[in-house]
Amino acid sequence: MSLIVGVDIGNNTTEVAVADIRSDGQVTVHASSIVRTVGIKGTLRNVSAIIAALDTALEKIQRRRGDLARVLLNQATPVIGDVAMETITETVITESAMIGHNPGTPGGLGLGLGTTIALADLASATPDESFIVTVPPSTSFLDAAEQLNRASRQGIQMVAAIVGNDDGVLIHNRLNQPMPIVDEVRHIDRIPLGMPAAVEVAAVGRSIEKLSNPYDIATLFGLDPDETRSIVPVARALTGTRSAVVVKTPHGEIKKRRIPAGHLTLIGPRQTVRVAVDQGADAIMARVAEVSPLAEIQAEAGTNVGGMFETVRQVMADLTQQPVSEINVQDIIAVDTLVPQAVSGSLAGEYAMGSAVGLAAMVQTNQLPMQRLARKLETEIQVPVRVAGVEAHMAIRGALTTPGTQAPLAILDLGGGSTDACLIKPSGEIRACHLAGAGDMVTLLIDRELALNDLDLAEKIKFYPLAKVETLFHMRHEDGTVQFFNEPLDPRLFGRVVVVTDEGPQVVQTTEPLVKIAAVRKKAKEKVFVVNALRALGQVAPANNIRLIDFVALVGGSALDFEIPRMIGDALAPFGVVTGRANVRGCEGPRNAVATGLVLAFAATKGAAR
Amino acid sequence: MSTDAKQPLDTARPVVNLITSGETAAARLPAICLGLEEEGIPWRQRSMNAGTDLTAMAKQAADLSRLNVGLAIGADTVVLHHRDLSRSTPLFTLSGPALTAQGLRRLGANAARLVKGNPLLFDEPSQPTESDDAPVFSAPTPKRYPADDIDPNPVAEIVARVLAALKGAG
Repeated sequence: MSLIVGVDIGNNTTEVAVADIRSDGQVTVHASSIVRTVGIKGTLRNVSAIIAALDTALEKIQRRRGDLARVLLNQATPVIGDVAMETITETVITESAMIGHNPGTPGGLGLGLGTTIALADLASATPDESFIVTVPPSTSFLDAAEQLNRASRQGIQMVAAIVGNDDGVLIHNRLNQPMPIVDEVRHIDRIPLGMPAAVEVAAVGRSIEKLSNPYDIATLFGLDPDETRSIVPVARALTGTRSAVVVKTPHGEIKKRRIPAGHLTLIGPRQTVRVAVDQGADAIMARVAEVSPLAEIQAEAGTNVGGMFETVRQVMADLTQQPVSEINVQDIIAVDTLVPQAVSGSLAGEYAMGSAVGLAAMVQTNQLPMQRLARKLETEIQVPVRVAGVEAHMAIRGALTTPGTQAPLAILDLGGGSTDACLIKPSGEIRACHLAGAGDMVTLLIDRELALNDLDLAEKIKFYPLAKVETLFHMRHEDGTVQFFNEPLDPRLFGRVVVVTDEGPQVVQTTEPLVKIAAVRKKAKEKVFVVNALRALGQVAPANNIRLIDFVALVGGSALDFEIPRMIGDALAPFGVVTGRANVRGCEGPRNAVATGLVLAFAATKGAAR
Repeated sequence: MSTDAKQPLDTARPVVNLITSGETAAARLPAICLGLEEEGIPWRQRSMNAGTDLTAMAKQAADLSRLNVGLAIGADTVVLHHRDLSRSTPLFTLSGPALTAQGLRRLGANAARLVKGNPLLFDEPSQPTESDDAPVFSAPTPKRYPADDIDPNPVAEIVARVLAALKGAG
């Protein structure tokens, strides 16, 4: 009997399986463990994590490193990926022409059309005109209400007000004559005076109707067809808000502009195609499918995509100690997305939805320097270390220990940087593929679409379910269930949407409602994981036909995600494939497939040699 | 006046109960009410010299409020309490330098938000509801095209001012 260890170094986690192998080749796995990987996989920094995982597993069965006969490392797949996003449209508003925002408590109700005037100038105003009054933050609500009432008594017609402070309701409650009031307008001094303008405030629970419709804006301001066309971005940006202001400026110009985002050059065995990134994801992916199988992808230098390609290639070059010129990007996935963008020339932090293309790229080389790592580990632990077995082959061997599976079995490993698929045929023949785009891309999409600017938070939103804190003592989870607490929750969580992490609830810093955040998360996962699952299985399937695969097992960390397995199951259901999370050795779940496979493969060669 | 607070507090209508204790306290009332008014939640105020335990008074006010929220306003402390909280742990206690007009208005707004179930306001720039929506919507567009960096607003402002001046002169 000899005690051997299989070690799987992944991008995120390092897993080990400790097993006894009898002289007749019988294997008994005694213990396993999992720790976070230190450093990029394949580098010498991995050693500390390997030793930690090893010791954790050995402790469980009260053995020491000295008892080990051999340590087996996987030949890690030399694949790394990176993500980037290119904004391709932008709303440019020269001259301040619109305010569309959602102050919590605007005042009054309805639509007012008139000429903008400063509160201070009201005294000298003429009675034959309708006015929209701007109230600077330096004026108190009492002063403002009094001056408005006085002007009203003098016969000056005022139809609406735009207020700097959060005083909309306070002013409105003190007016003799009601009018719609938009408040919390930060840059009130930027509003052009003496210009025709419209203010609209919708009833509670409603959104504005007139100022979000281009034809209503045209009616209000008497716009010609060309001007109406140019107002469309404003109307779109105002859609769904409860209050809005539109100012017509004589030289105002609003346009939706396309930003040149650079080109991608797709090089295949038969043809080379250039595609502009700003044509969008569908165009890019159509060309990718056309050129496929891809040999190399190049990006235009000096663009975001170009920068991302350089980073990925540089990291891989450093890792494998090959010149950068020999490293090629071999796959990309493009995803269309809408991101909120600050409008240049904003008055109250307005934003418009701009189109963007998210891109993930993947680089694969022949080999990672695993031998170097094996030698280093050997000197550290004083046990013979061998690099044994290709990762994909080991993973499928481990996955086949899942009860209820048999070849043809495909495994899907949805990782952080790449989506990997591998298929074993009844004959034992194995096909594997690695595609760009996985968890990191989902995180990026969530971050950008919700404008969080916080990748850590986006990562948590990806991984944990959401909840809304409804009172100081309970929260309602996104599935509708209610959780009560014995101690009051932090008042900072009150009324907010939170991600329910293992360390407790964390506030999602956005004003978006829970359903919107959940929808963004699900959409991002579908755009990346489901699309890539189908792409990857199509590549490894016999005759590229997914129907010819009988079993699909999900392995790796994202198989533990609370909704991905169901999404992929739904997507594969029409193909008549049995889809589920692997259960390695009937006890490990989707974890430990590679480590288990290493041990089994070693035992098999030993058994055969006998 | 009796120390029995049950009599004067409003239990009939849905309001936030406010108890003021002393004249200095009454002076703090308007700022708190502004916060409640802007958020659109009704309140009822009673004065009372019920002693010095403001936390207990606030708790009582909250217990008797049909909206479950009560405030006790003293000479140098203001306490915001909720019916569900235990007597000794009020939600907010403001005292000393925190008793600014702004701080009191925010407390009033928070009393109302507690009723409405809306996120509370805190004196931090990191809270987007508190300051403005800038941190929420500042999408990080990489600036690689110099022409885009020109802020059109100063130009707009100048044009607007000139036009306004011309109009005024004409």
